[in-house]
Amino acid sequence: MSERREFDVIDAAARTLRSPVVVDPAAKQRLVAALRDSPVPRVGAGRRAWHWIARPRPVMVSPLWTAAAAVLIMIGVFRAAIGWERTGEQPAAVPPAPGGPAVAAASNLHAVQFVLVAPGAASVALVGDFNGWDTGETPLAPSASGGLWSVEVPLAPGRHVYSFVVDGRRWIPDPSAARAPDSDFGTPSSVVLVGERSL
Amino acid sequence: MRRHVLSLAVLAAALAPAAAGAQFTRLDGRVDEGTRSAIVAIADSATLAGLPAELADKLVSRALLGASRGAAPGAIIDAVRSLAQRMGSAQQALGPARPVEIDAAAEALRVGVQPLTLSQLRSAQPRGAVDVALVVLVDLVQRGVPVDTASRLILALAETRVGDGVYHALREHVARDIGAGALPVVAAATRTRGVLATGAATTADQAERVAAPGDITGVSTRPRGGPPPPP
Repeated sequence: MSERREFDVIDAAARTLRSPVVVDPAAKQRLVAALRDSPVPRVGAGRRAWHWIARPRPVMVSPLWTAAAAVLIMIGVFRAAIGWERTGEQPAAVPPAPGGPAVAAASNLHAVQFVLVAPGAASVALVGDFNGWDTGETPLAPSASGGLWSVEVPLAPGRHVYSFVVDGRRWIPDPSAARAPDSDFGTPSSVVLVGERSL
Repeated sequence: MRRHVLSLAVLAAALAPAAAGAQFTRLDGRVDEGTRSAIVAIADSATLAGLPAELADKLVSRALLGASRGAAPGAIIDAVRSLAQRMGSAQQALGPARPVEIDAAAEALRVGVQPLTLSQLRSAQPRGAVDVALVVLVDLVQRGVPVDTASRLILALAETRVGDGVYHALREHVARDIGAGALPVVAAATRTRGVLATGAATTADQAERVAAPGDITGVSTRPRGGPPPPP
């Protein structure tokens, strides 16, 4: 084939390709109808979320922020575990205890009434491991007729040691409660068990 | 740079409360810094040794009691260290125990109860709590009942698996009897014998043991606060 002949063939092919394609006007309608009739696959939100999570892709994260997030998560888990451990031993009800302070339950704390008969006292305070043995923290209120001093304190379940302080200087145990051993500081004190096994 | 500073601030804020330990903040302003550091170290050591973390609060409370009583720093530290050691011994004697049981057992050791008694008490009530029994045991000793006698009486009750109400009643009756002039050891032995004699689970052997004559002889029988015995 001569060179001229080759050009003619190429030119004819180019003309054919440049000419507009005649499409059957009904073809487009048939295609749309076929698409409309075919079922559309449905993808649930869960599947989309899983796909979003599972799809591998590069993520830009600062190591510092990652460490901070990890520490926060660990602290949260630790505190949740502590809270679970503590609430795990909370009783639902408190039986009445003969003698000693009166105990009434309310959620995790139990209202405990402390009473002292001290007719000649000018002031009576309650001190114990629940208030840091602070003589100014929990004063008792005198009864209207005088002589009987009382206060109600919400206490967590457990064993609590306490004393009364009369007139700001005289520490005395609760005469109606169980006695606690000497605390190494020469303090006479009493014991109340709060919770399931109140005393 | 500013972002990194913010990150560190968040990290420090998150770590600070956990590191400080909420219970130790109660010591702030109540004891000097050296005493505070010593108490934190004792509590940390006790926790590392296996004591429940809740008991650290009891150690802090003991220090606060010392501070309220105006005790010297050395005396406060000694008291806290001694309490931590007793808690460890109590836990070892009891085996698996709730914090309140360890707390009560540590105080029982304080009044002279033997670790073996704690183990026997646990064996007598393997599934029940022993905190009430221990509190009553300490109360009896504090009212003048010899520790050996009080231990035997409480063990005898525990072996019959009496309820908490029995311990409550025993404590009240003995206190009332002593207040009325009875000798502590006689009051405790008599009341316990009555419980065992009338209780559903009692046996003649147990009743005999709690009322054994050896329990009420050769011991101080002077009521607490009463006049001294004649020479």
